[in-house]
Amino acid sequence: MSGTETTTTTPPARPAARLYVPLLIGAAVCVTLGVYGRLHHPTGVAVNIAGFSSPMAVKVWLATGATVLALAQLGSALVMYGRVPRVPAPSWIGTFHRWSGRVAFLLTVPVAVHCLYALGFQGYSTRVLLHSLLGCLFFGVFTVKMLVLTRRGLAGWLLPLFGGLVLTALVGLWLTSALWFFTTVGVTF
Amino acid sequence: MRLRGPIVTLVAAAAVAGALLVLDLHATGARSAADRPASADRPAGGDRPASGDRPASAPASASAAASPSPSPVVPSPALQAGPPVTYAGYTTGGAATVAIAVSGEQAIAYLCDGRRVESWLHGTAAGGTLTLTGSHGGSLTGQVANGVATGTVAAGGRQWTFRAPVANPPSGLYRSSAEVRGAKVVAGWIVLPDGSQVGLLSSAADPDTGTPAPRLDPATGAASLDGTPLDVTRVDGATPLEG
Repeated sequence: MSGTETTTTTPPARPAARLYVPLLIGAAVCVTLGVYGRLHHPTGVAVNIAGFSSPMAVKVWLATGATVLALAQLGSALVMYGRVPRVPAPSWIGTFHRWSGRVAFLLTVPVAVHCLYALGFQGYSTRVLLHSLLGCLFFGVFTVKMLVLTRRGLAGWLLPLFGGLVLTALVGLWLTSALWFFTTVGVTF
Repeated sequence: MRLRGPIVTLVAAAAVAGALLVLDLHATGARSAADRPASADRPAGGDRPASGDRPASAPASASAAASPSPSPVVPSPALQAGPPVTYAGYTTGGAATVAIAVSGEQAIAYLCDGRRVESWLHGTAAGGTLTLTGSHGGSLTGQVANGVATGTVAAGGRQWTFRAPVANPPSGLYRSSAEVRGAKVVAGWIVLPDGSQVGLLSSAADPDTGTPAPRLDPATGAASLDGTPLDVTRVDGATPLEG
């Protein structure tokens, strides 16, 4: 949270003012999720998708799908910004980036609801604490990124910065949950 | 107009989250209403399952708790609140023993085969679902229902299923973290309801090499290593696992 707020000091004064609202809303999302996860009495169960061996397996595969799509986000963004040598941006790349991003984000929503409702914000090990913090950060930063998209006249590097933060948070979430699940429980459906 | 897309994305995601939350409240709200009378008539420290104590005049709530419900896991009334409970039992086949101490939403478990494999695990027991992780690649997932914990436990690259009923004192889970002649040692004992015990002792410097723990007197909590008395505590779910 404080990490995103410090960026308000770096851009010049006028465009920075346009960043206050997205940052404040993002920080509010971040803090709200954390406080809810901490205060809500975890139920241990929540509505889930049928057909998997356990609620954890559902979340692991949804998170894996979201992470794969998030890596596609990185790839398509690099192409859009012309950062991939000898690969000109095709006309459909923007649409692909938007829709793969929407699907990826949609996949994370049931995972987060299950996490917050059934398990809560926990800190009994480094992995779990890191996962809880990254979970709150991910939704806060994603909100900021979406709101920054709607604002004109902001510094051009802001979008890649927040996109990168979203990707970093999601990959961190995947590493502290799904990868842990695959290595300790096994690759099960 | 195109710039409104991100807002639509955020609102749509929030709507999906809200809908899921309403479904959750609906599913678990009905459940906790069915559970509340069960936890009220559960005798403190009793090892009989709550459904067994319930009068036959309550078949509706009994079947509601036992039959498959919309929620994937049948919750344990014993875990909603109440005193700390310890479960102790064998893995399938009897190769190792597992003890799980639960206090509120916190849980500590110990897996031990008395020879080589051991793991101390720490995690949550919210709503009767056990989710623990621990040393030596340990993980434990399971459920608590009707006074019995069942599930899967893994450590040291191996995996077992287990079934552990309530273990009332003097049976249960014991731990000692002590300094013996300058070396820090950690010992764990699982005392099963039949009186048998399994334990391992390892030094903090070499946690991967365990030796069978010295015999513990569960009645007095006394054990000694090479003549040095060990400070043994009966673990509940909130005991800190220092060292």
